[in-house]
Amino acid sequence: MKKSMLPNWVPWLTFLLLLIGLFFVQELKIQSAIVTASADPKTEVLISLITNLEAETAALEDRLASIRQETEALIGQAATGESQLTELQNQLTQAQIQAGITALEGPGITIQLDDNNSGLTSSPADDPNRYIIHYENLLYLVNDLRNAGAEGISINGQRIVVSSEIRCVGNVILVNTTRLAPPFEISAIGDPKALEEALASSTTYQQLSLSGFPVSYKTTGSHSNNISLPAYTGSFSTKNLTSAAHEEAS
Amino acid sequence: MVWLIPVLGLLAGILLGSIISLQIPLTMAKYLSIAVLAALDSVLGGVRCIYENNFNGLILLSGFISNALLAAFLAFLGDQLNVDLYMAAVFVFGVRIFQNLSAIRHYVLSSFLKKHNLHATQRKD
Repeated sequence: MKKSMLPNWVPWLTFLLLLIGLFFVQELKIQSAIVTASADPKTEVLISLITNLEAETAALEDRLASIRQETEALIGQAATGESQLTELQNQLTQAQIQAGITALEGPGITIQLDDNNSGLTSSPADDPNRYIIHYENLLYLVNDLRNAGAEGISINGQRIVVSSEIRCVGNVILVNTTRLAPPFEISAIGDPKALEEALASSTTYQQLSLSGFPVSYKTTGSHSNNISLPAYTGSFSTKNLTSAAHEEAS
Repeated sequence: MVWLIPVLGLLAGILLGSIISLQIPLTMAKYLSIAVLAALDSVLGGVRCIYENNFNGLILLSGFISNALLAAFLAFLGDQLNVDLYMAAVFVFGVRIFQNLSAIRHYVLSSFLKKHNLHATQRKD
């Protein structure tokens, strides 16, 4: 080693140490950048997020409280509203039953009627009209059953309702504008005993029976099969009518 | 006071790094830290070679560059394989740094003791 000259290692080591210092500071900068990048904005975002969520929670809790109060009030109303609804539904069901637009089931009587074909063949010279069932027969029988308190009546699957007609067009009987052909079966729901008595005292039935028509009836006992009536499938014309009660109500 | 010149170089590097800002992407941080370790290893190896009187500047620089490149390659490979392979370079550099430091300490201490003739008296004590 000579004092006037620098040793040969000085520039190399100086260069390497300069590199170390440079790299180290850059590394520190990067690390601090990573730390600030990963922590600082995130933290602020999270803090604002938490604040917002807390405010939201408070608002939702307020709403929940008011909704609970509302619910309690509604439950109080519902108690009355539910009974009203049930009553209205009962009324509706009753009205539907009375209108005849629902199928019904119950005890009652079934009447079988047919034309007097054997009588007609045994006396061919006679008037054939005397040996067939006419619409009047059915109409009167239905009326007799109604008198006896029948709650629902059908003829050959046609339900008799307030607008039902029993009439004759030519040689066919129309019920609910549906053509019916013999044999006829009249079903009626009601007190079987009363209906049977009504039939026994019915002049129409007596007359048909005495004239040799094949008529019979069958009542349901307390344990035997119920009579089932079909629903009225036709329409009710309301073209010209308006409810008078509706005007009063309004 | 020739020792002061490399130390001044270190300070200059720190100052330079503080003033200029190399726009190094964040993903390069790992490679930069390995470069720092490689440079530190080379410096201590160089100092050791000074004491062993076989210092060669070119060998020192080429060793630094090849070590740094190998370490960077290991780090890159580790990134691709999702294995921390750069830890191998960090480990090797760390071990070598400690070995070089202990050797340097040995030489420094022995030369210091030789200068002041202390080892003989110490041995007699």
